[in-house]
Amino acid sequence: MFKALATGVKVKRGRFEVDPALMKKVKQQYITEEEIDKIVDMRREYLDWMQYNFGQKLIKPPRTSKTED
Amino acid sequence: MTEQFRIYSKDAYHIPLSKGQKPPAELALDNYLTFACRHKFCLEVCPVYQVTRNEAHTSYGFHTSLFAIWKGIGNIEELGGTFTHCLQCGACEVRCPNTLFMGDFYKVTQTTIELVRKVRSDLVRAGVGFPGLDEVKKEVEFHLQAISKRDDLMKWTEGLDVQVGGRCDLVLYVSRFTATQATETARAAAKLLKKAGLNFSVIDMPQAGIGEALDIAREDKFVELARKDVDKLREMGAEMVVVVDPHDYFFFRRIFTRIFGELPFKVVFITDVLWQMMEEGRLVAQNEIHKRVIYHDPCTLNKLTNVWESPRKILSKIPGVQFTDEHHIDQWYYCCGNGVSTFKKVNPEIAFTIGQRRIRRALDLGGKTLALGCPHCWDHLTEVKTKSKSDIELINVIEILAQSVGV
Amino acid sequence: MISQYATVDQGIVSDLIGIVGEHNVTTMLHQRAIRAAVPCPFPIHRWEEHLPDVVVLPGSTEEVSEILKLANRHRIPIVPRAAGTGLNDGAVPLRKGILLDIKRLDQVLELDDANMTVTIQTGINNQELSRTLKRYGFWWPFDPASFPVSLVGGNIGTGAWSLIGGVSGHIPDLVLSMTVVLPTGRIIEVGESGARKIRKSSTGYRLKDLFIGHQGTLGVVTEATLDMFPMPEAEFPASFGYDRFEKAWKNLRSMSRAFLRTMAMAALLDQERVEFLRRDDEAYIALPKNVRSVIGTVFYGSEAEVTAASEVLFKLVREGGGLYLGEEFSEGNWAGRHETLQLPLHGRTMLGDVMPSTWHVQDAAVLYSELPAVREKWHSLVREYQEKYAIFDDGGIIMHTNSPYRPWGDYILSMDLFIPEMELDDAKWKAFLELDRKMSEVVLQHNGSITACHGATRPGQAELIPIELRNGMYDMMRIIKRAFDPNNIMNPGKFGLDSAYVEETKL
Repeated sequence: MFKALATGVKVKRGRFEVDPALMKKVKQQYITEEEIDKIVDMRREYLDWMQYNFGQKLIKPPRTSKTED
Repeated sequence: MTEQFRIYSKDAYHIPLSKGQKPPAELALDNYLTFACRHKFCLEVCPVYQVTRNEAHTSYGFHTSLFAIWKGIGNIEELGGTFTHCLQCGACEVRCPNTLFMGDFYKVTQTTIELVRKVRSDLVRAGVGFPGLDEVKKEVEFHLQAISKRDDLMKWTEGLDVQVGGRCDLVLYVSRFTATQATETARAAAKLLKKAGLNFSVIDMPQAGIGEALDIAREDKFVELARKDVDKLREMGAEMVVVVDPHDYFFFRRIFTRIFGELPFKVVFITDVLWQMMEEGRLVAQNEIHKRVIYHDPCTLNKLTNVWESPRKILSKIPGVQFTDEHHIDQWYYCCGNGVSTFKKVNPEIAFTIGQRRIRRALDLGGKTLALGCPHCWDHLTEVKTKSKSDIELINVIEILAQSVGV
Repeated sequence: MISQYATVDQGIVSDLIGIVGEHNVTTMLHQRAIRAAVPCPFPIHRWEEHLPDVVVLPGSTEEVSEILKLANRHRIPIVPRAAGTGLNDGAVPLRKGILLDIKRLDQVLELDDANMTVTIQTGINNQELSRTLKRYGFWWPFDPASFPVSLVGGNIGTGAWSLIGGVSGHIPDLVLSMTVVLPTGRIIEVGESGARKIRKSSTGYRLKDLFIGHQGTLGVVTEATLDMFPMPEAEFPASFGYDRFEKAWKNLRSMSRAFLRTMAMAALLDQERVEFLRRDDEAYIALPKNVRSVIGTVFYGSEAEVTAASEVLFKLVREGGGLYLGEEFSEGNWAGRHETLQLPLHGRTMLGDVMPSTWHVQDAAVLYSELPAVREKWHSLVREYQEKYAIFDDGGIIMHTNSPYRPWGDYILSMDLFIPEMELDDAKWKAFLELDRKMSEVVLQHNGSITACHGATRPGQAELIPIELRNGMYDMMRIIKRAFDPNNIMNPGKFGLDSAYVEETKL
């Protein structure tokens, strides 16, 4: 599930991060794990909120759908 | 001055701006990351912009102004009147996709509050200043006087039969503002913790909490007072510190940690503790409180530290309360108008209008009571309510709980 | 003759203060500098050339009228600006002058429940309008990529497009009438008919459309009466993966012809686009390795119709060789549709390093049959310029349904190019304009339109307007512009319409 497909992407603590070696032109800032967790939580909450921005009910896919891998 | 401790998340912010000189290239690059987007997610979410409709009064405006100066257009002397137009509420920081959708991935986020503090302080250092600076300096001086007056600072504990100072692993932290301006909230917190059967002590003579110092080049004073409180809590043997003022919660969780590193105690907000006590049955909301309640998310809790669940859970469990919830993401767009520091002193009219609008929203939803989580919100909205002759009730959520619990 | 413009001196500034009040006029450099640019690539090495002389924020239609009258008296350019989120320099000043910032005109004036209209001042933000209408159970169904940030006035000025136009149309379909301040200062009302709320009429010429997509060159729209929809009962987003672009393109055809009236959008992501998404795993939801192309769809309508449509859709996808990508991807992708396009750290250098850059979206309206050919030629052009200049980063192409109220016909092709503005100089800027022009020429060769919704106001594309609009259309534009704006004060230089003033155009 969390396997990074792209080069230049690291997975740490279950979260995606850019490979710091690619950040040659831009300096990363001081940021705590707690602040990172907060961003992830708030993104998820925001997407949930956005989901009901227009339609009142989110329809689920037909029962005949399959997800293959 | 700022090089001695990490005041800002970004190294480039520690280099002061000077008159007649270009900002450093590293700062320009940081400003560019906002300019490069310029899609203005920071506009409609900003409570100041909602009033002035001036895009200079936004994260985009602040970053781009500095970037333009780096390109030789403009100078720092004209920035003061623009950079006072920021509540430091954190709405733009969280709403910006640079934070919300890539900040964790790249470890580069929108740090508008820090930029605003930096520019205000740099303008003071450069001898330029900003409109309303004298008022802000007075506020800082007032705080420095007030934290030495035991009679005023600790009076709120009278008659509560609570331990003050000494050693205890659970400490209740009530800083100067709440202790002197919102005593009922402080007393409610203490009474509820006591009713829950918790063994706690109240910090004696708290010193910190004056965010304004960061806006007037008094970072040294901010750090000094913070260090005193952190040291005192350590000496008390605190393992958990319960905070009543969300501004203090924000300072502890996000600024003190940056300056001092990991703190030797956990910091929790009062409503999180009280909800846990309710879940464990140690606090029972038994008295019916017949109110039509809207809850206002304090910016420092909602936008800056993502605490929004426990106040709602508490309100939902109080019998008699008709609670109409406004989603906490909708409330990224709201503010009471006080600001985390400085704003109300330098832009009182805009602060008033923002407060009026917030009360209006609650009334439009049929609310008669606006439940608050922050003593600064309560203080400011009380002034707004009085001036605008509104009859809405303003009360801290923990005081409603205290009434229902019966303390 | 092109007007000789007057300099904005202190006298003009005082006059403006007299009209709008001291707090709503500024000549401060930073306030002017921040309003010189919009989100498409900006020549920061020539920032000063695009500074307006003064910024003014009017608070009413009457104030706008007085400002335009003043501008005409003295011959001063006026550049209207809404949010400044446009993508083709419509609001970038070319001749200095007065930057007319309409953001203070942000009120909802009337909501007509019985007749399903809302009348607004054009400085209102789409998301704000949407939230207001939602409280009363109505839907403002206009959903551009800039939904959280753009103002209706800017959408009108650019002739904007909606992601969900398949079900609720685009801005030209949703605006019923407008209050417009003409360049001379005269205030008029214009719409489908002489009545503000009628949706279809044959009383006179169809003049409403003159002011939709005019880029502020024919006046300032200050109020608009808009169509409102009922709040849709149901929403259904679904994304599908394909191992080849061509397979997805073919499946798009059968989907779009199934007459699913609740289909609001189908968007085809090409291989380069999918690779771009994978670059940062920005969706944080891994796609299976053999997915090289994606179709994203979304449906709005009643629960009964949307549910039925979803069954038909899935059957068509199975027949077309597509793979459902799951609820998390489908729903997350749709909910995050406004957020993840313009992130300044998603650009990469040729060596793969993170490159702080801005986002250029090349947009065009291209017929279904021409999509594969235009796609290939665009990528090939970008590769050519990448080899020469190393500043362009190809973020791939998305092809969205473009026709109002139906998912067949033409598609808006948008290619994302990341460009590091801090590295721009004259040579690189010229290269960008060249690339822009060549990509537009490809579209013309394939019977498309060089812009579906952004506009073509930037040099690079502007030269092609008379070519696309040959056979009379561009001549008519010249006549109209000169008739409406005799002194060429309204956003002068846009559309190349200075040519209207060189000599009189005859049809």
